[in-house]
Amino acid sequence: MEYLELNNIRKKYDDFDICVDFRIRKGEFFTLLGPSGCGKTTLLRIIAGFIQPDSGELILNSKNITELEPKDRNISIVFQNFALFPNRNVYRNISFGPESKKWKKERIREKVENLLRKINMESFSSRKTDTLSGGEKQRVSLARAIAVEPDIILLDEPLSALDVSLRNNLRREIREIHDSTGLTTIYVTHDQEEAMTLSDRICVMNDGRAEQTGSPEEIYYSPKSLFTASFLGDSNIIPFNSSLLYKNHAENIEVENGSMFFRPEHCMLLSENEYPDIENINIFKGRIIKRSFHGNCYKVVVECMNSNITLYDYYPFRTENMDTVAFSVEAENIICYC
Amino acid sequence: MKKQPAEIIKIIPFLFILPAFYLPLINLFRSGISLSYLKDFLSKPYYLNIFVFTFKQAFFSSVYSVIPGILGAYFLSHYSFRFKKTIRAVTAVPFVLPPILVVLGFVLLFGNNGLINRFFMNILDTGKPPFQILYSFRAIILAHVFFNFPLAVRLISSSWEKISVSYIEAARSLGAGRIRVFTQTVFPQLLPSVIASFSLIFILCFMSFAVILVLGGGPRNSTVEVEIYRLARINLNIPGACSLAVIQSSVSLFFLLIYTFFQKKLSHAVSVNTSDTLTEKEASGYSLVFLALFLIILFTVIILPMGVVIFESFKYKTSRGSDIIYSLHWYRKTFSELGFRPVRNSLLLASVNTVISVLMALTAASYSSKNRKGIQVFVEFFFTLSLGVSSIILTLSYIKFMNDFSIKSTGWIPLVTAHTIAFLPFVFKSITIFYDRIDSSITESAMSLGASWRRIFVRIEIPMVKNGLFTGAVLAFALSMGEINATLMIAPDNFITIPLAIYRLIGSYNFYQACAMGTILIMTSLVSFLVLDRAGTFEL
Amino acid sequence: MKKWTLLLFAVFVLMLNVSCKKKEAAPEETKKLVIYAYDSFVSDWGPGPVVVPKFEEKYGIKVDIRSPGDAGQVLTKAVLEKDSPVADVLIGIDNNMLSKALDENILVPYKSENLINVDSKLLFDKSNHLTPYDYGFFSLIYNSEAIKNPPQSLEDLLSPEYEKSIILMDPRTSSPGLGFLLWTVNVFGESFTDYWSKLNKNILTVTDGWDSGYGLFVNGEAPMVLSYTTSPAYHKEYEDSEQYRATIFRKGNYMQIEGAGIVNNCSNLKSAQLFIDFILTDDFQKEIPLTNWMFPVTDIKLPASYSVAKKPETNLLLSSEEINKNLDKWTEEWLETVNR
Repeated sequence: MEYLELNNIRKKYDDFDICVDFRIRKGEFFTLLGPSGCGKTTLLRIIAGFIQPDSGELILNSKNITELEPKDRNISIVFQNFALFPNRNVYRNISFGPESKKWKKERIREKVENLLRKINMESFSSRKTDTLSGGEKQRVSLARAIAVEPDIILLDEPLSALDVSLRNNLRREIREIHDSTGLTTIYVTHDQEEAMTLSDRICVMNDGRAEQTGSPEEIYYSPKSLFTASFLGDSNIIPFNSSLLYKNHAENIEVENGSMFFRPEHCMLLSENEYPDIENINIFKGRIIKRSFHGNCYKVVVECMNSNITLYDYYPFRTENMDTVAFSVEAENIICYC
Repeated sequence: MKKQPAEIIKIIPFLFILPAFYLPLINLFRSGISLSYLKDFLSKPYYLNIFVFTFKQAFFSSVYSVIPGILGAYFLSHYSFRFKKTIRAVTAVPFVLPPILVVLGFVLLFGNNGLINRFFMNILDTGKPPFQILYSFRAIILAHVFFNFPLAVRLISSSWEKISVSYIEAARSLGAGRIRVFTQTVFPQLLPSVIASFSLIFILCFMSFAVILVLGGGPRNSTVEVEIYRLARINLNIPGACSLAVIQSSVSLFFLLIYTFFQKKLSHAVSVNTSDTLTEKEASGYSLVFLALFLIILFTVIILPMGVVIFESFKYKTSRGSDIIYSLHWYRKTFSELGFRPVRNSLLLASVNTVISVLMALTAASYSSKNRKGIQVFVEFFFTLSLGVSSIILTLSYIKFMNDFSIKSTGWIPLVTAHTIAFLPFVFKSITIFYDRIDSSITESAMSLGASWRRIFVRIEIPMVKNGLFTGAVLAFALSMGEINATLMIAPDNFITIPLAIYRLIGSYNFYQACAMGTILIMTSLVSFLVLDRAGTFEL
Repeated sequence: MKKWTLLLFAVFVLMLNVSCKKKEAAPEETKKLVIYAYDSFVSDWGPGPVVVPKFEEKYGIKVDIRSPGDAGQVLTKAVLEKDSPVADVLIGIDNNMLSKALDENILVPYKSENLINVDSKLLFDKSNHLTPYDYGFFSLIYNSEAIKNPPQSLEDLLSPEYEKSIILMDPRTSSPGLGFLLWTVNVFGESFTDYWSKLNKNILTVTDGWDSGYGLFVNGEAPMVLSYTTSPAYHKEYEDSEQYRATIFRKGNYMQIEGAGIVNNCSNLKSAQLFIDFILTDDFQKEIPLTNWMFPVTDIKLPASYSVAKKPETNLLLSSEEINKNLDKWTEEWLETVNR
C-alpha cells in the first residue's frame, strides 16, 4: 500500500536540481542513501515542508500535502545535531510537540513518561539538555519526534555526530523503536552499512536523481548502475574485456568502452594447478600488492589486467606466503555496464 | 510557508521605521543635498583634515574601548565575586550621562585642579599640577572609553556567557594550550560580539563632538559633527548640513555594512546549538591579581568620575566666606522647584522607548533570521541605518516632516518615535548576535512538531535570545535616559527630563544643583539597570 | 505576542492619524501666542516663568512658550517651519544672527511705540524686524585669587604669564565664541589670524558651549574664561562673592544685543505685537538682570549686585551684513590658525 507518494518532485537550484518520483509504503523503514551533495537532505526537507518543490505533488495517505505548512503535515524530523531546545529540560523538550498540538495535560504526561521509559531515561526528565551526552541527546531528540505520534518520522543522519560504539547501539534502538511503533520512517544517511542493516528498502540517490530503489539485497547484488554498484560495499570495477568473458550472460552485449563489475565475495581463490574446468567461469591471475587484516578475513588487492581487484581470503588463510594468486569469478556474477 | 498571518506581523517594524525614519529623512534630503556642496566638502583641505581627525579618533577610541571590554567581559562571565551585580549595573551608567556632565566629572577628577592633581600637589608640595591628563588626544580616548567601555562589556559578556564549553573542553583534551584554546575556539565564537561592539562604538565616536572639543583642548580636535552643527545652526545652511551629513553617514555606514557582513559570515561559521555554558568560579592566584587590576581600572576610569559629581552635589556654602558644608540643600531645592517631574518623565520616556524598541527589534530580527544571508544583511542594514545619521540631522528631519505634514509636536509620539529610531539599532544588534546562533534545525524541529510561528517565537526564539534582549533593553533604556538633543527639539511643551534639567541648570550658573540632578540621574539609572538585570536572570 | 503587537501598531497608527489632522485654520485673534525662545530663557531658572504669567494676566492671552534649544536652534526651527509657521514670536535672535534671519525672510517688521525708551545705540535693526530686549558685553572673567594684574587689552592676553590659562568657546557652536572671534576681527581687522596664532599657547581649551566652559572655570581649571561682564553679578547676588571679576579692555568690549521678532505669516499677529510692546515695559525689563543675566535696554534701576557688572567706555560691534558676508571665511581662517 502506497503511503507517501512523491510524484515528479522537481526543485531547481543554480548548480544542481532534484527530480524524483517514488513511493513509500506504510510502516516501512525507508532509507535515502547517497554521497553528500546528492540532494537527499534537500529531498527530506521537501517532505518535511521546509522547502517548496518547483513542481510535483506530495501525497500522504491519499491527501495532497504539497501546499501544507510543516506544522500541519504531522511529519516530525530528527536532526544530526539533535536540535534540542536549549532553554527546556528533557521532559519539556519531549512535551513540546504534544503541547503544540494542544493535547490534554494528562495525555501529555502519560506520553512523555512512557517515552522516557522507552529510551531508558526516566531519571533524566528534569535535566537540562546541555548536561546530556551525545547519545542521550539523540535519544531525547528521537523521543521528542515520536511524541507527537507523527504519520512519518524523518531522520537526517541522526547518528553521524556520535562515536562508533554508540552508533551501533543507537542503530539498534532506532530499529527497535520503529518495529514497536510501526512508524513509517524515512532515514537519510551516507553510510551504506547503516542503510543496509536498518532498512526495509533503500533509495540510492546521486546528483538529484534516484538511481535505484529496492531491498538492501537487490541493491547490493543487482545494482542497476555503476554508481550504485560502487557506492555500496566493496566492489571491483574493471574496463570491459571481451576476451575474459567465458560464455557469460553478457555475451551479447557490445560494450567496447564499458565496465565490468563484480563483488569481492564472488572471487574464489584457486590453488596452483587446480583450475576448475567448468563453463561460465573466468580465471584471473595477478600479483598481490596489498593485504590487510579484517578479523574474519584478509582483504587482498591484486593487480590484474592493469586494474586493482579486491578479494577476500577467509580462514584458513591461503594468501599468506604468496606473491601471485589466481582466482575465479562465475560469469553470472559479472555485470556489465556501458 | 506562505500566506501566514504571522508573516504580516513581521512587516510591522518595516511599517514603523518607514514613516518614523526614512520618510522624514528623504523629505529633508529632497530639499537638501546638492552636488556642488558635496564636491566642495570633498576637495577642501579644511574638511579633509576634519574627516581624517574624526576617523582617527573614532578608530582609536573603539580599539581602546573594546580591549578592556573583552577583559571586563571575561571577569563578568567567568568569575563570581562580591558586588558583581552592582558592578555590572554600574558599568552601564556612563551611557546615560549627558556629555556635559561627563566633561564636568572628568575635569573634577583629572583636571589641572582636579582631585588627582590636587592630591599630588599636596604630597609633592608644588603649585603646578604634576599631571597633564586633559586637553589632549589622550583625554578624548579616555572619555570615549568611559562612555563606551560599558557597551563593549555588555555585548561581549552576554555573548561569552553563552559560549559552548564543549568546544573548549574538546580543544583542551586534544592538548591545545590555553592561548591556542582561546584563539582557536573561544575567540571565533566571541568575534561577532567584538565586531558588533567595535562597529557601534566606532559610529558613536564618529559622531561625538562636545567631549572631543572640550577635553581634547579645542578646535585642534574637531569632528565632522561640529561642522554639521555649524552649518545647520549657525549658518542656517540646511542643504550644506545635509550634504555634509550624507558624507559623514556614508563613512559610518560603509563600516557598518562591512561589519554586518563579517558578523553574519563569522557567526554562522561557529553556530552553536548546545548551550553547555560556563559555570562561574571564584577567582584565585593570578586571576585574582588580574581581577583586582580590572576593578582598579574600572574604579578610576568609570566610577570615580561619577563619584566626584556625586560628591560635588552635597557641597553647599551657606554664606560668603563660610566653609563649605555638606548637606542635601541642592536636592531639597531641586525637588521643591521641579518635584518629581524630571524623574517621572525620564523613566516614562525611557521605558516606553525600551519596550517599543525591543518589540520592533525582536520582530525584525526574527524575520531576518529566517531569510537568506543577503536579505539578512539588508534587513540589518535597514534597521541600523539610523545609527549612522547625525542626531542633528535626525531632529531637523523630524521638525521639517512634522511641519510639512502638519503633525503637531505637542504629543509624546514624535519624541518616543525619535528615541526609538535612534536606539533601535542597539537593541537590534544585541539581539541579532544571538539570533545568528540559533540553528535553523531548532526552529525547523519545532515547526515539524506542530508548533505555530507564534509558539516558536515565544517559546523557543525569545528564550534563546534572552541575553541579547536584556542587553539591548539596558542599552536602549540608558541611551534614552540620557538623550538631550531630540528631547529638546521635539519634546512636548513644558517637558523636562533629568538630563534636560542638568543642561538648564548649568546654563544658569547652578553647577552644584546640576551635580545633584546628575546624582539623581545616576541613581535612577542604577536602580533601573539592577531591576532589568534581575529580570534578565529569570527563566523564560 | 501577535495580539499585542497588532494592538500596539493600531494604537500607533491611530495616534499618528489623530495628530496628523490638519490644523483647522485658527480664527484670527484667538487669545493665544506661541513663542520660541532659547532654552535658558524658558528654563525654570530663566526669565520665562516670571515674565510670561505677567503678560498672560495683563492681556488675557494664553502663552505657549517652547524651547527647541539654543538661539541657533530657535532660528533653525523657524526656518524649517517657514511654510506653515508654528511660532508667532521668536526670542533671542541677536545682532550676529540678524542678517541670516532677514535673508531667510522669516520675520515681519514691527515698530513698537515703546522703542522711545530705548537707547538709540541699541537699535541694531534699523528695519525693525527685531526689537532689542537686552544686551551685554563679552568679557574675560578672571579669578582674582589667581590673577593679580588682570589684562587690560586683547594684546595683554598674549602675555606668557597666562600660558594655558584661558578657556574660550568655539565660534562654530556657541555665541560667546562667535562674539570673541568677531571681537578680534573688529580690533585687528584682517590680521586677526596673527593675533590668534600668538594667543594659541595661552588657550587651555575651547569648549562647545558657554556652559561647559564656565563650568570648567568655576571648578578652577583655568583662571580666565570668556563670558559676559554681567557674570560677576551672579556670584555677587547668590554667593556674595567678588572672587570672579570682569575685565574691561581699553579698546572696548564686543557687544551682544538680543532681540525678539514677529514671525512672518504667524497666526496671532495682534498678540505678537502686544508681546513685543510688552518686552520693553518695566514688567519685563526689570526681571532681565537677575534671570537672564544681561543688561535691560530701558533705563531702569539695576539690582545692587550689578555694581560689579561693568560697562565699557567703547562698545564694539560689527555690522550684521559684514558678518554675514565674511563669517565663513573668518571661521575657516580661524580654524586653520588654531590648528597649527
